Amino acid sequence: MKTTRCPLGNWCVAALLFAVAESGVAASGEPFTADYTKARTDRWRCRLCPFDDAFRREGSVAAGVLAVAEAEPRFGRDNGLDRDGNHADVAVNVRYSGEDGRMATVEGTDLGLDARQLRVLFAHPSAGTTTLQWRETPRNVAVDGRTPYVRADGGGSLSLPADWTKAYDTAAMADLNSARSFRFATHRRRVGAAWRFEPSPGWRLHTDYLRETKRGTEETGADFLYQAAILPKPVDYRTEAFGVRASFRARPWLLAVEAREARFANTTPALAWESAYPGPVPMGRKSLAPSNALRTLSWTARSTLGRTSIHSRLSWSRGHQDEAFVSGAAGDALAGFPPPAPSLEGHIHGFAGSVRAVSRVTGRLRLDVSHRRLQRNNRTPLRTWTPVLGDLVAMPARTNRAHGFDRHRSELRLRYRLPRGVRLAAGASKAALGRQVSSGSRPEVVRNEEAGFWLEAAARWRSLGATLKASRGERRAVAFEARGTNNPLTRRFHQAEREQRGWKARLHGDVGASGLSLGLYADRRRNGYPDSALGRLHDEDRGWGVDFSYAFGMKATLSGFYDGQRAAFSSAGSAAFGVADWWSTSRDAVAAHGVTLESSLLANDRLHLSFAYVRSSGEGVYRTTRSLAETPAAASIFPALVSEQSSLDITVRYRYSDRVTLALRHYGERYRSADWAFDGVAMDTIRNVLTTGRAMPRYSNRVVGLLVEARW
Amino acid sequence: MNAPLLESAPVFLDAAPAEEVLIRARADVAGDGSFGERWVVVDRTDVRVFDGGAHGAVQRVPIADLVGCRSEACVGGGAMVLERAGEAPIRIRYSQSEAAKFSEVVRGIEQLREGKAFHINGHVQRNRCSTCRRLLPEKDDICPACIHKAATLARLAVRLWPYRLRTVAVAVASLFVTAAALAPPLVTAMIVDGASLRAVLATAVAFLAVTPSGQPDRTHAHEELAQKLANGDYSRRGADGCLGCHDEEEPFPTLKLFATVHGHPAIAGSPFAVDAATPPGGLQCESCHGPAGEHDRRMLPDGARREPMLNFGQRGNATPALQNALCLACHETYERAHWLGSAHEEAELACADCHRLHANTDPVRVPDMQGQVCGACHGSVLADALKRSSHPLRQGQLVCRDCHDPHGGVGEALARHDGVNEACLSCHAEKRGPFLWEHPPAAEDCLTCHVPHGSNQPALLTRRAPQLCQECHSSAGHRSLAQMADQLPPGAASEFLLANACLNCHSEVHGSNHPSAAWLRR
Repeated sequence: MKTTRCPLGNWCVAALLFAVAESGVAASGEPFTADYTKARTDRWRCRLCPFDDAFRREGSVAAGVLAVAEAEPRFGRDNGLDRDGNHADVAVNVRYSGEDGRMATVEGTDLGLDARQLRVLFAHPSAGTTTLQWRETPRNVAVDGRTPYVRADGGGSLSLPADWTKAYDTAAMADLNSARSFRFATHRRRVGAAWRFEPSPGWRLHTDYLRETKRGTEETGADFLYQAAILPKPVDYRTEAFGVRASFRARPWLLAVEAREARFANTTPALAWESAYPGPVPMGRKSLAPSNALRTLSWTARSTLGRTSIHSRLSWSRGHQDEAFVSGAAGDALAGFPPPAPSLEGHIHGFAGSVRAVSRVTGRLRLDVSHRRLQRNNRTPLRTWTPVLGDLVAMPARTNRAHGFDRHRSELRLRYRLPRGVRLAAGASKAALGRQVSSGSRPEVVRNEEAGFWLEAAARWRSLGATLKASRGERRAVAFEARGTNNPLTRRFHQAEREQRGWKARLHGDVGASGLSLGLYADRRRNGYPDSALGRLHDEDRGWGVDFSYAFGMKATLSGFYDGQRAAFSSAGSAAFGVADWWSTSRDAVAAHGVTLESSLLANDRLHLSFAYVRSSGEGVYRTTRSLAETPAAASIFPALVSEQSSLDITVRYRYSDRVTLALRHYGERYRSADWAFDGVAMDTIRNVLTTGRAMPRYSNRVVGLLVEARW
Repeated sequence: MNAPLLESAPVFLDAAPAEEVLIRARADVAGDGSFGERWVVVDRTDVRVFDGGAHGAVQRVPIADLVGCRSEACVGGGAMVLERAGEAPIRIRYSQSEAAKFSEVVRGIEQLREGKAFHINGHVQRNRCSTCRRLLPEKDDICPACIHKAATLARLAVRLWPYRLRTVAVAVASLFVTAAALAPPLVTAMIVDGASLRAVLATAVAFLAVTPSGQPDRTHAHEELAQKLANGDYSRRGADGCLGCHDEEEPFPTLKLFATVHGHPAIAGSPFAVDAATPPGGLQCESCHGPAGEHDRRMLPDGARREPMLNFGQRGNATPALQNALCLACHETYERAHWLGSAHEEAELACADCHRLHANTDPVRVPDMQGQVCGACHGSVLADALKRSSHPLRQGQLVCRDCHDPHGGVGEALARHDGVNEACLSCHAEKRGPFLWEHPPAAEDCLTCHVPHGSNQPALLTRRAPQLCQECHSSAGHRSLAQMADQLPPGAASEFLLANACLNCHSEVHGSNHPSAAWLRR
């Protein structure tokens, strides 16, 4: 067919067809209008409704034994299976539903392990809903770390054995062989209660209380000028949070007021330790996390006016911290420079506000305008301090650093829905971050301004959907002023000028009627720092993946996934305090894949098999070069950071009867890791740092479990 | 009218039978199936079939020997079948124009065979046009060839004169719609024949606007469903009408709903609440799936389209906005105050994409299973949980909901709290401060140094110390020194690289309350 080139004509055709399409399609996405007046529910008997089945007690209890082959902290990092031997495992799931609307549920998992969770819910139509929860979370890191220190004075003081031989070099510390192992692990226990009640239609009251304790031991560094030690830090935290909220809803309004208070207490606010090195300072003292509190008052409102819906949330907070300062003991250098106040009297006035208007301009076009503000107004008093470095050397006086900021972000979004499931969207944003300036400190960049825009296209065809998004942003640093002792060519990356580009793509859906569900995704984000001669020069993230699920009729399902990620950073430094004379790059590559097969066998699906294999491998490479012209082979390349984990989980469930099910599970996990910061680093490897000598985990472990589940 | 069916017959048929002739009918299809002539003559004792004129064959069948007489449909006509015991049946075929007549012939023969009173309509002749002799349509006897079109149009114009403007508008709109339907081939040709890029962009967008995609057009079902909601034509029997068909034998079982609050009659506002004072509560299945309308009102032949009911999910027949509006009719509470305009709403996610109502448990509300539901779209986050350092997402100790609000959070990335830092500090309150000596990037944004889901670096860091620290700190001295691989064992053992690197000394990296911690060492 012969055609003529007529761009104007094409635009006319396009405009005409747009007009036809726009006029021809009903406005979708509008809130629906419903007419309930014609419903004659007095005639509805619901004879076929199985209410008798609903008003009942039902539940299940599963109990059994889990046998762990070897003790390995990382294997049981969060699940409580860090110790070898037999562990009881209990799970409950009980429900009660009464004819009068009373309901109760009890759900518990891993009740025999340190990772137990229990949730209880009571609901009554006239008494509201009460929820109780108990959650324990272990965090096991290592058990092979060793330390010569012993705790004294309730854990706030670490001392060395009486016969400890001090030496300037860790290699000369002969008593390291008698160092004891300690457990680098913490355990959280969270207990909470919540109550929700609707006193009258539209009103809802909610109150909740949460108390969490975290106990255990972590690592912390401690130094005396050029000599340091990794200490076992006692952790004994208590966090409490309490909140109450009242909300009211009457179309088109929704209003809510909420008050919350969070308190953190540390029973060990300071840690003293005996120096393992000879020197004028026998004991050091450092502060640990200070107790603090935060009160928040929030207001939430939403209203729909015609085709526009307006949301807002405003929160005002007051945080304070007034822990008593660590003071010097008689005779130490710190005592000569007492703090100007006994405690910080720290106050933070915070504000978080969000306002958004969403308007359905036409049946296809939607406009979204939002503004957010986050403010941290640090009103901590500024005072002059004389820091004593290493508990030995008094440094020039300086004013404490109280940091605050005021962050604004405005965004405009447009979304246009074309027929046939196609959607176009575009957005632009403008943000500004202003940093608090005080006599004590002035940041190098007082203000950052950022602008960006993005475009997105999405389409649906049958059961397949696709989305593509591209974004671009630029951040400006307003009036950089070199401060402090940094090289003036350095730009701190979180406040430096930045150019950001990125895109995301996703394809997902069902492939016809084949039973196959497929998902594909990919994304990339790149940041460049054009004004940074030193510091971070650029960073980049890339990711891609695929996941699928295929159902073989009603009896079996095969699913799998693959995920790949790359992260790269590059930075420059100057050892000569001039222009860049060294460059550092790091690249992380992580790939994870897995496949799961589930199948029901035998008549009435009595036997259920589950097979899951997952593997994740990560490699990180650091590289330093002293010249841009340096060949890769000449670069200083660190040994790869490696973490490889593969697991095989096989579960067989046999339904012995309608009330009894037997489950047999075998879970095996293999983990390999390498980290140049820890591999081959014994307690005395670093001349002037007494480490714990813990090694990177490497294990093959398994757990076999036999459970019996009874149902009623 | 009861009368013998006697058509004018050729002379040879007047070879008078002994009995009175009751039926004399002509079939216009010959014995070999071609157009021709066969006569059927019936008296009280015999049926005689005359083939092919005066010298043609005559088949005589005593009525007493007939087993049955019936008519059967054929393409373009029919056949009268005389069934005889032990012998092949005799078929007398005829065209459609003779069908009415032969149905009476069959009826008459059956009456004679069964010994009943003979009672048929002997006048089944179709009329013919007096002008052109065409057979006239039975329904109106108006000859389509001879109708006076001008007179008809004139009558139509007179009747439409009061609505002339609307008539013209409809005609013009019809022309436009026709043009729009004809446009795609033209547009396709323009694109294929290599028009300019601008033209391609313009026409491609227009192409998307009008080209049928072949998919079931959800828009039409959506319109129909929205109209059903507005009409409010609810069923007469409520759930009893639905559950009669939609039971547990269905591919999508429904009865597990009754094990949940949605199916409880004593829960105020639930779909099955006894008290329907607060609709859509109390409207049973129709609370969510909309009014039944004609959906359950009559039996339909196989393959016929039943009036749709609203169903949920990405495969549902209504837009996610309509689906969600139905859920929000009851559940638009504080927890979903910011749904409109949220990331999930903008992505046109339906409530039913994450929630399961017709099930004993809703997986997304179970901590052990929530991650799998979210991971169906956010697969990379699940993969992050496998990395060297991660939050305990795999074990269900931490769930997505602890940090994110999928119904619309006020913070970035659907954060539940007022800002990313508050989300982190809800569990890591020891870093809240304020501190005497603050680390500004930590106070500004935890994500300056950390990633929230998983990292190949320790402690969920983006990069490890010292390289991460040296991206900001470049003072003369050890901070600005290049860290080389030869500073690792066995060659050397640099305190700036090994163990906790910078944090061997500068351990209070989130801030410190010690009077001497200006460098975060105490």
